[in-house]
Amino acid sequence: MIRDSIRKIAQEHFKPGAAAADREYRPPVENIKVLADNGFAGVAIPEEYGGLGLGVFELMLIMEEVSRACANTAMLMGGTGGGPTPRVIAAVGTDALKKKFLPKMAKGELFAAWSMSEPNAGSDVGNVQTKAIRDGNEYVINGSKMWCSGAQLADVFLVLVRLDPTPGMKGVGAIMIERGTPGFEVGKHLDLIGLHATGMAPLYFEDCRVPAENVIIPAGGMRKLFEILDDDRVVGNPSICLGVASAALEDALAYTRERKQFGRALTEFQGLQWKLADMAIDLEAGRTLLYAAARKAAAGQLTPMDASVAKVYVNEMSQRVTNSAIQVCGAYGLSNEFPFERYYRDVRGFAIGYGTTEIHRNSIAREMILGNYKP
Amino acid sequence: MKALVSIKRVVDYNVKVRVKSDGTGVETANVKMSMNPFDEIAVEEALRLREAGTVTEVVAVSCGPLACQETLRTALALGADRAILVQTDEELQPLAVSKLLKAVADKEAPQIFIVGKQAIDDDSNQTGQMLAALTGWSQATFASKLKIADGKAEVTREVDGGLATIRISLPAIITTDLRLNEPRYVTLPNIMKAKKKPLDTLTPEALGVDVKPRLKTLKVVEPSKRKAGAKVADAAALVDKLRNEAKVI
Repeated sequence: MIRDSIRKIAQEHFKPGAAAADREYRPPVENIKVLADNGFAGVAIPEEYGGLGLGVFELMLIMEEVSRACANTAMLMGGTGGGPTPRVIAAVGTDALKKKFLPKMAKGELFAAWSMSEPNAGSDVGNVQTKAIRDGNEYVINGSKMWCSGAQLADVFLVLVRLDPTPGMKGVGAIMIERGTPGFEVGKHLDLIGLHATGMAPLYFEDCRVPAENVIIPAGGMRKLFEILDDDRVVGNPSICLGVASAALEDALAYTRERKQFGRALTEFQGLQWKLADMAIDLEAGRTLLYAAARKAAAGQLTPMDASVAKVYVNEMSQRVTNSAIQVCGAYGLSNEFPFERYYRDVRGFAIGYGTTEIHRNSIAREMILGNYKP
Repeated sequence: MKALVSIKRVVDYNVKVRVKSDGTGVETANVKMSMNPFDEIAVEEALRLREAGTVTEVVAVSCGPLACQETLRTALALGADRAILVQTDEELQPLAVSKLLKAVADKEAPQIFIVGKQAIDDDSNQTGQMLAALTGWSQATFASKLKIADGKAEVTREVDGGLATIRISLPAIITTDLRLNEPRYVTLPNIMKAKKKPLDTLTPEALGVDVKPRLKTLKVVEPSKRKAGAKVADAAALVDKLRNEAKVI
């Protein structure tokens, strides 16, 4: 019922504007209102803060269906009650922070962004250089952040900073910073290959003073954060890939049924039939892996290996499927009059965001070598 | 004032229906099923009456197998207050459904009973009318507008020549047409609430209704395939073909 409902909403409201949002680099914020009006903004926020407290599996289904219609909307949804920031606040935040942010996020009134990467610290989180130095009841923040999705519209940012001079991961923590705090500036839109409408930008901090109670993860608490992120690796990034790949196959199938060459529909050519079948096999394999991981996550049994296996496979599957969708549609697949090239561009970044597929292969191998995996 | 709405579980309107290989009916195994769209309109209208303060309780009723519970949950998620399933695995024809609905109406004593004008599976368009005959209540079919005031219902009906507006006394049976309203989306919080709303189960035996089919289906076949069309050079050629080939003018 959840899937039926969100599919109907997403197909009727989000799909028609998806191409324009991409073309015009305009975040479809109006879609967030539609989600909020229908109760889909506060999915992961606990009930006592006005959310629904739904589990990982439902959240994944919702993200998949939203992405099937518009990947940019799904990315923005990450800034509402379904994204990583509220989940972190709910899991480790102080009561004051929870009360301040969660109820508004549950209503879709407060948009939260999440900022981890820096110009010199992507996968290497231990190398975070943005400094927060304690001064009385405040922290003074200096440095800059990169690739922050939703930055241009966010009201509040969860920012990874070095709270303690200890080198490496031990000195890194996280602090909540509100838009408009003096000394904090959001940079120009960063134009990437796809996901043009997420308002992605760098963040700059120059003697930005933030109250000490805004610290959400103290220095050295990153392990806790990564535990929360393991679930999030299932919910966010690969579910968007799965949704976009599903849309690509659905649209490619519709196109090849209609399109005639040499007097026959494309679907009558066996070469193309096999290609479509391979796309479906790949897609369904990815879906099965991701659903299995989401079920485990919902039961609290997700291992880092499960999350990495699902993420890597689904990321790469979505590249293959969207690429094949372009191929079977020929020149129309390349044209921006059709959605196929956008699907291809939109999924590309997911193999880099939230841990590159290489980093995830490292952790898969580590688990294997440690003996935590029996084939 | 209480409103009853009837709900039928049908093959989803997006599904391409297939006839069973033995010709006894259409394939429903492993097929997506949903609420009959006209019934969705009925639920929506009842909810709007409740939101306007005219109706105090909306009860959804369905007749059929256990799986109809799922469809009733959708009605609850749209906002109905409670649901009743008259559970049976028998094939139910419109007369049987009308009798079951009458029995439920006798128990529940609603002032208004909103029914979809027809179901998109068998397109019978009979249940509402027969229910009115059995209950002896007034009826307004094919409603595109409904107003309730001073114990009367003012209903605009879609008739062949245009729109007819009639005023009938309550209790009444209203059957919904497509333009009566546009049903809302099922919202996520309401899906969660729907799980906790009461859903009672009755049986035809307990209601004392004989549901045995009175009609026999001889054969179900696929519609014949449409032949390819032809292009004509000009209007004169079209008129010639319509007159001499198709013989329709």
